[in-house]
Amino acid sequence: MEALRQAGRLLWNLDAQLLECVEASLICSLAATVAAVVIGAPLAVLLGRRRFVGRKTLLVAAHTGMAVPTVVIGLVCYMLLSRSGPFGSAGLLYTKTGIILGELALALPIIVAMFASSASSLDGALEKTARTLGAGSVRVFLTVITEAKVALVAATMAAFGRVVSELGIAMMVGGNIKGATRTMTTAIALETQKGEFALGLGLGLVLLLIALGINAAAWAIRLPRRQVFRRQGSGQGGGDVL
Amino acid sequence: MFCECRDIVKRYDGRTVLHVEHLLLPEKQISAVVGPNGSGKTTLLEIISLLTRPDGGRMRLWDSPARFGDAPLRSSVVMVMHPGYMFRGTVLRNVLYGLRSAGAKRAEAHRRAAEAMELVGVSALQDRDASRLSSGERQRVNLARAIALHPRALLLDEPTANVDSDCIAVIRDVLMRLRDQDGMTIVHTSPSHNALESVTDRVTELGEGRVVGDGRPPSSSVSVAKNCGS
Amino acid sequence: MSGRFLCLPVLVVLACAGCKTKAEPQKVTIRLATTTSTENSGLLDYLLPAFERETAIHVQVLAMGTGQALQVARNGDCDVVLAHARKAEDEFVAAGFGVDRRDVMYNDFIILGPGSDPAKIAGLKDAAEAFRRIAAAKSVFCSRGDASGTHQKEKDIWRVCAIQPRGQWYQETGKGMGETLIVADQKRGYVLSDRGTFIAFRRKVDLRVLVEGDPALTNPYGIIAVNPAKCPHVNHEAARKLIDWLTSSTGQRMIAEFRLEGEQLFFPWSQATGRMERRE
Repeated sequence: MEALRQAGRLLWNLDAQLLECVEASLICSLAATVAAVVIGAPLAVLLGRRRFVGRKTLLVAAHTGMAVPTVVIGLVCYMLLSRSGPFGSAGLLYTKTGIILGELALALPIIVAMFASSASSLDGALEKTARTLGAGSVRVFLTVITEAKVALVAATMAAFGRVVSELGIAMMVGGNIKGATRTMTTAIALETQKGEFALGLGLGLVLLLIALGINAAAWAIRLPRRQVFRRQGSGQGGGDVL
Repeated sequence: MFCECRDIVKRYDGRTVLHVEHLLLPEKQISAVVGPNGSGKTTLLEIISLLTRPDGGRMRLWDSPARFGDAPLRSSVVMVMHPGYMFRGTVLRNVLYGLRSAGAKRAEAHRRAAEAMELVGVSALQDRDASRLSSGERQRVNLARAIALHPRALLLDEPTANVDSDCIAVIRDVLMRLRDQDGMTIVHTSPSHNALESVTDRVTELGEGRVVGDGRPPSSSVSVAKNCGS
Repeated sequence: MSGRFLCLPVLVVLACAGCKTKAEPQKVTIRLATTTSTENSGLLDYLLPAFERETAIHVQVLAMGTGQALQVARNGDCDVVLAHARKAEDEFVAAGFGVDRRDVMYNDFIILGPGSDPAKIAGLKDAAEAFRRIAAAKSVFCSRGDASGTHQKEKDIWRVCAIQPRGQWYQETGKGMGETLIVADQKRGYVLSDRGTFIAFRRKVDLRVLVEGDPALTNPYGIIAVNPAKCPHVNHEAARKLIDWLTSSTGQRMIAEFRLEGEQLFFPWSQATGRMERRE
């Protein structure tokens, strides 16, 4: 198909504009995902394993946050970062940093909601065991993360997928500026709007290939030995389960 | 004196599960806290290990006041829970867990871990995935990782429950050795007739959260009873 | 642990992101908001590098719908705006958001339709008459339906023939020009389009040029600097330079030289009126 040919041509020539788009997409989505994990994982552990007033509300908020359209997040971010808005003087509009902040708002609820539910399903004895063996609060937290590692990787991959494929935020906050904030997705939108459907699809295929590569790398790193997804007490099973 | 409790109270969901007016536990001995299910044995142990905050009362450990959250003091009292939560990874990683938390250097940590595993007889299992252990093996690993820290006091919750008789013998021997050679204070909870009677020095009985009998020596039958589970 | 392996490449990426986003242009950069059709024509890709060579000012182009471009300018998120919606531009300046509006160039609109031409408008030189016939025949007409310059021109023509277009036949797509052409093509309907987009889409749609040349179909482009009094952080000096350059003989000549698929697309304003107009 024409789209496949376009994709091939783009990749073969290592088109400079394509590389810029790929770079923009990767920088923004990776940075946003990592930030979401750094902020969201502790939050998720808190929500999943401690009881406190407002916990249910926050969990509902996190789940709802996963349903916000990217165009809405983009619009809100635009209003916040615009010169006429409260944070305008930071000059973050139409920059990659602005996109990262917007995509962070997209990724954070995903990490929190998904990881909180996995963290809460860990055995309640975890913290007490860790603490009696001498672990301080930080070590206990890190242990929770390690014990739920598989779930965290899954949540991270989900967040990354969402963020690398989003359009609304990159468009509104990034402005699709050639060479600066043009991401894969905004480039696809642009080419589609220009009627260059095959090129748009070709770019889409390139994006999928990149996402595939990143996911494959994450899987490979995650499973060095043939680890079984574990539950306490069962020694059964073979193969890798997610 | 290892532990003195006064008016220790713990409530869950409005229900008082533990109310100990006065309890003394001696040092360097093996004490048992016995009682039926729900008598508050586990809760009492957790409070003494400074893992759970009591809702009232005072406690002294080794003649100084002890409070929940006192981390240095907590490191002197290690609790072996039932069932033991095995961390992801190998048996060795589990046994090293506490040592790593204490910041022990790698060589020293491995040495102490090896020692502890040797003592309970799980050295051959050190590279096994900890989720693939039999209940007896798991309990011994549970014990090893606590022993590796050389605590002043070792608290064990139902240590011989769900464990085969060979393993019971090992546990019994280990506890005896820790008391006699290392001067460790040991407190264990068990059902009223249990396999550790032959090594237990004194017994405290709990019923519905209250102390109903204290200080008596274990029952005279010294038979090596098979554990009847909880 | 395996987690640590993941950390390293991620940290590298973050470091790059940090460097990149901070090291972004050290040179003077201004932002020009304009319409997607202007950007898609390729004119700016042709003009701006020359401008940058001469003045060392880098122009970032923000392409969006006319309404959005003017709103962005109102918010002070760009330094200068290039649009082709005279009424909206005048409102923009009157409200004090823009200064120094100048006419830059013009091209024209054309009325496109299916080869079968059910409303029989082919060859007319009167846009209003063409619209009247389309409405009378209730032939499918695809409107942009957004606040774009094209849509405003379309509304002007409807006003001239005193018709309020309503009904099944009148379809508002809410999309950009190119996409609207595709919709019109699919529905075998009529559509008002700027010539540039049509040239770009000629091979993709099966629409014919039916009406052109009516002076009412002229599409003038204006460039306005964002008012520094309202938005003190804009680089007014650089914006002025861009405006001056585009209206200079160099800029005007380059505009005339620009070809899309071998056709001249834009006509410099200086040719039309013989002198540069200045309006506040």
